Amino acid sequence: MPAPRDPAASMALLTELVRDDAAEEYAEAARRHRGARPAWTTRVAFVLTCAAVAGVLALAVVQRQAVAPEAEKARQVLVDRVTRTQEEIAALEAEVVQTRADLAAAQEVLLAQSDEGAALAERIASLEAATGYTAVQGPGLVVVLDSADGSDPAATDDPGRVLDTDVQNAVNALWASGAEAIAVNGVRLTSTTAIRSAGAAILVDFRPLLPPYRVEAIGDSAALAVAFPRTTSGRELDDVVQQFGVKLSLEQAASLTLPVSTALLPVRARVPSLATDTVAGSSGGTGVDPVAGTSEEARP
Amino acid sequence: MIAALGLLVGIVLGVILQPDVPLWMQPYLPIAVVAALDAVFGAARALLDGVFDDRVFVISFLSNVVVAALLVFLGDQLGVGAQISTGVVVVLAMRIFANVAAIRRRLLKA
Repeated sequence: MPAPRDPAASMALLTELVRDDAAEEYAEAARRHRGARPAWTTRVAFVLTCAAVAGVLALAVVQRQAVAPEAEKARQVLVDRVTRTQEEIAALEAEVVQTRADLAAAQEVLLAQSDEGAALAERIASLEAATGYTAVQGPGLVVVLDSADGSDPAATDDPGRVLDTDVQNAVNALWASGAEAIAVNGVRLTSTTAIRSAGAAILVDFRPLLPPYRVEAIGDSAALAVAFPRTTSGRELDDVVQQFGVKLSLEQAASLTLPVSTALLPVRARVPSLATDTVAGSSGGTGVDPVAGTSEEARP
Repeated sequence: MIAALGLLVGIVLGVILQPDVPLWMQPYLPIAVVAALDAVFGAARALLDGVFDDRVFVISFLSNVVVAALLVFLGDQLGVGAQISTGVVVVLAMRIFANVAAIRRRLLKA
């Protein structure tokens, strides 16, 4: 006999939800065939269902456990690949340095044969120092940048972190103060070296560096130390130090050795032609802002 | 007895074979798990009430799994797979709660 219909029919859903349906299933079946022996097909189906239930639950447990090691394995594969590639790069870089030395020796022999060659050799030597083609040694200034106390270097939104713009400012201030050659954490800068950030890491010449950032510049150390804070970039850096607690220290060094730049890719090399020459000199010339750094983040 | 046998076979198959769940089946695994739990608790309750019936167990588990899978499949086709999954899980979870509550009342008298 159907119950009298609820005038608020939409309430049926709520009634349905609280009604205990699960109890009815078995009770009803029990009323229908009480005492009857189950058919053998039912028993087989029952065993199979038990197996399916247990299998599904076991599978779920196994799958969850399998997911974590899988992620760890993938990470390990990537780490291995990075390490292997870094080793390959190191080997290739050593080869580059060796080949360059051979080339320099051969060049020296050739140029020494004439007066014109000797003049050329002198010019080449000065250009090589400026472009990072050769290692340079001399007195200079060391600028060390480090994160503020208690800042988290991994947090991209931490204002106390050293940003790529800070390193750019330090480098620009050093060029503007008359530095002849600069290296950041042992990575020599050239006219095409980019200083930028990728996530929380600062990339110099596309190599990730870790703080503290040690910017070494070769030049007249006393003059550099005097000029550094007076440049525009130096003042900007000072603002950052005052406002966000980024640590900055200057130190005059009697002798610094800057390594050879390993990335001397002729990105925009051109063979001079006699026709109308429209080579776009993107940077250089002024020597003030040779860092092609496009910052992708701003200090909050 | 034969239930225990079935359970054992299922666990052994699931753990030892560790079949790779194909990608298209991934959304159905949690549904199957919840449906399996529902069947287990429903059976346990019926057992305690003395009305357990293996026919009902088989049919309720299979129909729940099939209907839930169909609903999720339909939802996937309509672009509301996640919502339908939620609905299915909610309904089955409520049944599990009801069954567990009944078991608790019976066993603990509370």
